[in-house]
Amino acid sequence: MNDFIQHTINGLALGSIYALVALGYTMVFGVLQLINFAHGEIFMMGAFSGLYFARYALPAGTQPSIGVTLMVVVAAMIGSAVLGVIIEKFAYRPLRKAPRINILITAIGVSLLLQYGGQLIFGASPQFFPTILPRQNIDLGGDIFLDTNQITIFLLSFVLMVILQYLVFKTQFGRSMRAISHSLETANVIGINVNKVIFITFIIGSALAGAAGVLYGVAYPKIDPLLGLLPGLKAFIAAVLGGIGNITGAVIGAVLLGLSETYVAGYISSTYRDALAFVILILVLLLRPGGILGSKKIEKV
Amino acid sequence: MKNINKTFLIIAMFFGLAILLNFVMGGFSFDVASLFYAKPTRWQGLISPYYYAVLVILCVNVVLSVSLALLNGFTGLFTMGHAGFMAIGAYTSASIVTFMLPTAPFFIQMIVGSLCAGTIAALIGFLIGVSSLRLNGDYLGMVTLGFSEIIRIMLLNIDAVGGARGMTDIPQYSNLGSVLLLAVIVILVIKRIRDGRLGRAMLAIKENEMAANMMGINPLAIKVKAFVISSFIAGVAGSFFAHSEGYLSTQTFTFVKSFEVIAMNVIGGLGSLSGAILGAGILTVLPEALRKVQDITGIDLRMIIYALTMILIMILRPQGLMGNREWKWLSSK
Repeated sequence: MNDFIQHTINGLALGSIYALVALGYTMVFGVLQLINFAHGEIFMMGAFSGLYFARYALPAGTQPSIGVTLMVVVAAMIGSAVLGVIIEKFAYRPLRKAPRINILITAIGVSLLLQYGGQLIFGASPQFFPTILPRQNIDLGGDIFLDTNQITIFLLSFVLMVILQYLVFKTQFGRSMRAISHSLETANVIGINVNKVIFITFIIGSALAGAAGVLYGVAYPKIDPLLGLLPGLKAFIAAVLGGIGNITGAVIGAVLLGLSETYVAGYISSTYRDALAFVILILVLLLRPGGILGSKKIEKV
Repeated sequence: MKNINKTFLIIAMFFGLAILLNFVMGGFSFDVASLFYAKPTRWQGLISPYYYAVLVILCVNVVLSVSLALLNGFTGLFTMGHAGFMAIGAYTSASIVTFMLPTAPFFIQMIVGSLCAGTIAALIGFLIGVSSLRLNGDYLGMVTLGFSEIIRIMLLNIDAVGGARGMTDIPQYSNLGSVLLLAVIVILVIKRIRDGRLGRAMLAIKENEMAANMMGINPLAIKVKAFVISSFIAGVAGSFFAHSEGYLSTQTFTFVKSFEVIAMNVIGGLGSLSGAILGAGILTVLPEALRKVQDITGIDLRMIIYALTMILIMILRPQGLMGNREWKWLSSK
């Protein structure tokens, strides 16, 4: 039972990181119907901007603290957002009217470009993420530990998700975004500035991925330029599991995926951990293609 | 009738060339077969080992790209799991030859290995196809991606085929002659399928599935057929790949490989057979040609230029290099 609680805590922490990445996938899919394969690399770039900010921009001898962590997270969010906007403007915008498979190939190209570009700039070997948070294990009794990293991950992702919820459901921008996800043409006709909304969507999605990158670096402090590949794909699976295009669904899917991965690694074998995500993907798509919260689409003649 | 003549002409020309080449290289001996299934030494007097390796990969990629064109280009099924079928073929053939036929003659090994590889890949393709072909568009792509990754992770966990260490000491009977012959045969077969009844049904489904259904075509049956044929060919390609490399690692068959094959199709032009060949050529040769750039700049810009080329072709020429056109010898007239 204690094992189970410990796995649950670890799984929730992993799930929260996936959730932040999955939100970006699902928002971009909502407005553009595009699986943004470069999103995992934006997450990776977030981790690296956090690393370089912590290493060079902070004065020497800065002690790890909550304030430092917040600064690094904000720096990474800005770095990722800038990158996301550049990608949107130069790679995706010229293809707005092209067939979807072309945009998908472009996304794969961008993803490759960032991976190899990252290897060129940061070096291919892993780097250690600096300690930006005082690490302390809190004993909850009975061999269950909760460390301060996990608490930070929970709190930070919770706050970011609440802000996102507010942006999407309570502001003018959010209303435009939801309108576009229903129908891009109609939204255009009724005078919504589609390009501007897509632009802001990329800013928000990428900033969330950047924050996730830093949190990932805090939890697993060895980062390299290929870091984004697998978590990116899994976050995407989480988005599909929850119902792609659905913001609450992405969070639910991510938490479920994080939990089940940790249980499989803990109780069965860690080699099957990566396969689990794909099994979930197939089962969801075959049994309920819309995902947990998704709606069924009916094809008309 | 005209088509058949042309097809035979090309095959005959190929054999003629091979025999001629053999005479030139082998000092007028009559051992033609060694060009196709002997160890690569026979070829290596003529071209450097590096070009030899690139040409082998090029032929394997052409086969993969052309077989994916059947699904992606002609039937309009967007799949992202081609590497999985290739992996099945490669590992099946390598295990059968290594464990069951280690002493058989080259010829037997090649025929049995590649046929088993193709059959098993086709069987799994059939199962995947039947279960997932009611999905459309991106969703089909995601499911096939998932299947392909599961196949890879399962192979990674089978210790008999090397697991994470990779599989070594696979008999290297396949050489440039045989992969080239395979590529030519596959191109011609796919061309004949495209121009025949099955191909027309596929194109009809791609254009409008409902309308095709109204015309008496059973879309599911045609799609499953396309899936089985395509995975059979991918499996055979995997088999030839395994026996020309002599070494297999599951790292070769990640989803990145599937994306590469899709990119070959799209860059050449979806729906064009010539485009699939051209795309395979460009995406195989470009990274190799760019090695020279690395000598000049001193840093590895190779893959960056490769990625940039992909993006730029998509932005500047979204219909692909060939668009809907075909080279003359591959056009349907």
